[in-house]
Amino acid sequence: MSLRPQSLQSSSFPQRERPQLLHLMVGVAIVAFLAYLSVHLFQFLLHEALVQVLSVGQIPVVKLWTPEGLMLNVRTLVGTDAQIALTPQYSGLLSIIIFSLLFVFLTFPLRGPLWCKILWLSLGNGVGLAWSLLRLSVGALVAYHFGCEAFAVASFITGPVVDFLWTVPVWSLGLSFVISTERKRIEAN
Amino acid sequence: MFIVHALFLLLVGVMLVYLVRHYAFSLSALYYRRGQPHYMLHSLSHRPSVSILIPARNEERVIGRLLRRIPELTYPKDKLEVVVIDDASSDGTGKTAEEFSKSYNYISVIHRSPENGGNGKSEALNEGLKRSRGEIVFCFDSDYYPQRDIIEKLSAYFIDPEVGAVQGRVTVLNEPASLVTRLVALERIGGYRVDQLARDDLSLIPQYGGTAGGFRRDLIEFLGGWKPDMLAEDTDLTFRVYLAGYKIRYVNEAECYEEAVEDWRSYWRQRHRWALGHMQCFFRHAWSVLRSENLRWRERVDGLLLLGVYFIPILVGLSWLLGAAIFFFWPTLWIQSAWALLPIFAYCSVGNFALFFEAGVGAYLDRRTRIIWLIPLLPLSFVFNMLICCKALADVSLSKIIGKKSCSWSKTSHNGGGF
Repeated sequence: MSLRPQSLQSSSFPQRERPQLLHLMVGVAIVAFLAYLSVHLFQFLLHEALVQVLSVGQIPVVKLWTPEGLMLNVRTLVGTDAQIALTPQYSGLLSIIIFSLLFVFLTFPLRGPLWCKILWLSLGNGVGLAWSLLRLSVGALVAYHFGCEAFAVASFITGPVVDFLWTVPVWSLGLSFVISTERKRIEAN
Repeated sequence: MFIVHALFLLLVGVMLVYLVRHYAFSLSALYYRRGQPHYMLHSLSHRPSVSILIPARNEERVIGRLLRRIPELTYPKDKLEVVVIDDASSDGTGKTAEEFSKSYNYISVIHRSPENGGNGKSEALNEGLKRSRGEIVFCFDSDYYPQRDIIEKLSAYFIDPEVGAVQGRVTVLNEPASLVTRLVALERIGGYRVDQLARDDLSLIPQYGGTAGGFRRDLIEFLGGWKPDMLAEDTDLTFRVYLAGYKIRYVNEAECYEEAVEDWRSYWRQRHRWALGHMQCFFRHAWSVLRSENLRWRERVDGLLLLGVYFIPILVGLSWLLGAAIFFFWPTLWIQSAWALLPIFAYCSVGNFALFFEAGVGAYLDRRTRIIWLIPLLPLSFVFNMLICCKALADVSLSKIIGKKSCSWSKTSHNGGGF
């Protein structure tokens, strides 16, 4: 617990870092691919997964494809229909894209193995999708019990909180992992 | 409705400015260094006489630690003078300092009586300034613990006649003590290792932090010393130095270790004083900074952003409320998108409360691994700071309305932890 003052020289590296531009370019390409997947695949996956989750909970839902995008029709307890649009912001896909951009521009240029960075970027996207599913399920559940207005309130409250809960922890854990992997690599050499 | 939307957009815009600023600082700390001259080259030829002022009020638990360190400093003792200002202490602070002054002829003690003393750090420092002689005047808080060669590292920068003051890096000494100290350590890493260094590298306005820094004697005398009516006397001096046409250099290699507050109550008291002081400084200096001919445009912009940093948590809270109102009463597609971005903006717009970018990058540059795991807990201190800044703004506003002093100096207590 105690610190010896004589050893309290911080281990700051005085020299400047050299940005890993190749890693950055690879990261940007991956993010572009992930963004493409978000629009063309993840959204459908989320839609399908949400229907499955709600079906398990015996909540009556109908999938809708409208010109505005994917929607979910939830038959509420009082017998009315609540329609939930899976827009990028409601579905959480926007947060995933923001996370990916932040991660790429902050972490990929740093020293550290590329595989480690890609791993954490992918993990982050996976965690983000899982949180989005959870958030949408909670929203749909609220809509089922209390109606469409309650869904707006639920998504308003859970949206930023959920983003707080996953984006920064995943980013900081990823950064920590990259640093320790790099340190181990240097020590091994 | 239009006004509400416009106000919301304005707030998001302000947060975006801070976001870009701190992102730029992080990138600068990582990839750009103007190149601080190696201190040893200068110190061979430039060794001015130096006075170290140590204001102390009821610091018997920590003053001995600092005074034991003083003889270990490598700066030539014939050019060193240490003045301990016992500011009407009721404990053994004065006695401890006296014992050291008997053993070392370059250490002297000023005892302030309860009638004259105890009115804050500024008055104590002014008293010390009158009684000291060094060309360069350093200030160390009594809970600080400097590196042995810190004076050489800091004083070397005074070879540049434009440099009016210098500031060293502050690192937390008692980091393992509690969650609060760990979070403060993270804030300090972001604030000094990244923020201060970037402002120095980018020729903006590095801040004098009130301790572990020093001034030219003729400059500080010309400026009239420390202002007793300012709660953030360090920020006030920072701007007075710049407005007088001098600059401040931040020296990352000159490290000094501080005892951070260990519980949330002390954290509240300390940050409340800082927030009040910063707000006082904003009202006192913002207009002068905008109009000053001694500042370049980018220094003016950075100065304003620095002065406004304690308003940001309030603005973030306000934008949340406005965002909520618009979201429920006048929902539009763009506002939903903006709302999704808000948490990230909020996280990145907290100035000295350590932003996760800066803290993460600072920890990376220090090769600290495990402390990064605490970054997700920073919203705790952010929300806490929101409350602190709201209270401080209310206090400042009230004092403006009724014309009373907003707050008296509240001393942070230290218990000698960290060793």
